[in-house]
Amino acid sequence: MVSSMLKRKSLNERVFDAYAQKRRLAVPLVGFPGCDLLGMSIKVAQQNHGVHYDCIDALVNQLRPDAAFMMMDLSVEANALGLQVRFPIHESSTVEYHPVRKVEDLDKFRSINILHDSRIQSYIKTVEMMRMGLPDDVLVGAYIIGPVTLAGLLEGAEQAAMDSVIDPDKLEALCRFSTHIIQEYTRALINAGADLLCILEPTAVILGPSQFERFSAAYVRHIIENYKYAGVDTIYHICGNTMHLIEAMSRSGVAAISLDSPQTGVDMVKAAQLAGPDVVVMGNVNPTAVMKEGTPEQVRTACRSLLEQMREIPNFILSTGCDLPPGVPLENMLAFMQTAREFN
Amino acid sequence: MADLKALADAVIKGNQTESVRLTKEALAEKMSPKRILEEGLIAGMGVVGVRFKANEVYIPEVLISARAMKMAMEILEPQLAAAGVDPIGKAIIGTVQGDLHDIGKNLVIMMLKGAGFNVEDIGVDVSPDAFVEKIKASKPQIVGLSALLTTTMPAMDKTIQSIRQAGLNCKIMIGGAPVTQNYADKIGADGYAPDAATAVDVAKSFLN
Repeated sequence: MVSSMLKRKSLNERVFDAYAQKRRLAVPLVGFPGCDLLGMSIKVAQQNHGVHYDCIDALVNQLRPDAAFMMMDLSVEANALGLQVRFPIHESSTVEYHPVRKVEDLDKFRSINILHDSRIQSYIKTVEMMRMGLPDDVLVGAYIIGPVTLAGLLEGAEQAAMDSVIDPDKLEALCRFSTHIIQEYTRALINAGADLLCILEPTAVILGPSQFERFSAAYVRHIIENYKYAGVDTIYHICGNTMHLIEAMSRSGVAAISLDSPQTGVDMVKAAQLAGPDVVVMGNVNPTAVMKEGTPEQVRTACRSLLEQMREIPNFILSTGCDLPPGVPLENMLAFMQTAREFN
Repeated sequence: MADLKALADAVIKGNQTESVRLTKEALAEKMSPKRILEEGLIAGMGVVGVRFKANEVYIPEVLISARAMKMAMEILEPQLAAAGVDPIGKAIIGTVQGDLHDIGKNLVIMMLKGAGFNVEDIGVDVSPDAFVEKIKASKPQIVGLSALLTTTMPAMDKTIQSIRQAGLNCKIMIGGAPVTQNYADKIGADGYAPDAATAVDVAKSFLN
């Protein structure tokens, strides 16, 4: 890890260097299609770090992206706290029940060290293997859940949303607890060799800007402050139409914001203007309508159109609007990468 | 004299204590349940819907308003039934098989109720066969399918196919974060709504 830190350029520097060389970094958020490549189930990959790594390695061999992420899993932290989780064979695992009714209910979780959890360890080991096994020019990306999203898993997303207005002290307590959990995991992922930490905060899309600042961005800022010399860059990823949150996301101290597809209402050019020149914007090819359901030619058209729109914006990474679902054809992912590499 | 404007305001502010108190007060004064519904609750939720669309309020405020309306509706519904007031339409809504995320579905239900629909919530993770059975039993004019995950979107397609194959005569509308108008067209849905407020417009358009 030390050697990689010494030679390490920040994400921002990489993005600007590439732009100066008339290139674009291309980072599709892709994990599950690796299961398709190897004929593995998502369930096995999310519980077996060797299979998990093999799936990511297979994707990297095919696509050669500028960064590779582990598989997206919004249940891993909650599962480590003992919440009830469903493990379908070919879908990502999902939290089924949200047990917290009052702040005191958190007490029973406080003595749990989530780093001793077997699935958490499996993800940490996957990142270690990515660090060791992937080519040096591919950044290693890990996911962590966002504070509001974990709070939403603890008490239910609807209750968390209402608490942001009617019981803000309760939601503060949940977000504070969630941040503590997230920080433990963050430290372990950085030690495992992650270059990029992507904070998954989909539940926060339902909040207004001031609630978002208070319950999500403020805690994200706190996490980033704690690890600012750890040689890791952070990315805020929120699904859906985040146009009302772009400024608050960008002011949280993250290196990049990752935004969903145009069909949800996200306008990347406008988002880049709102984010300012120092925060990288990532996105936003539609993961389902284009990447899964489209033809390779439609993928090329969508990528070219986005690259053209963003031509004058240096701080941009071509990515997908969200995680690619299983079943995305390899030809479409190859078309995505090829279009990014050929565009100048 | 009961103040229906104050009732609408209580809904707008999400004050459930006030919405319940004012509804009880209006009923005690023998005001018609239909008028309480239309000039109080529906009027209040209508304002919330407009503000939501204009980004003046966000989902948390809508949920709180909807809750205030729901509490008042629990008192009003038996009176409406007794007075023979018909809802403007009947809908059933569920999340499709494999999808446990219900916040979008719940919002649409509350907005539709706020617009005067009779809405049956058939829950989460509803299989195509279960949708068909529920439609046969309840005979709604409108069926809503919700999905948050890209991985569960194909279940919308399967559900629509099952409903069509069963020969059931109802309009199907779909929604959820990854869903688009193109996808709705592709799988043969009758309507698509990008948000809960628009879902009301789409549902009303089916009644014409």
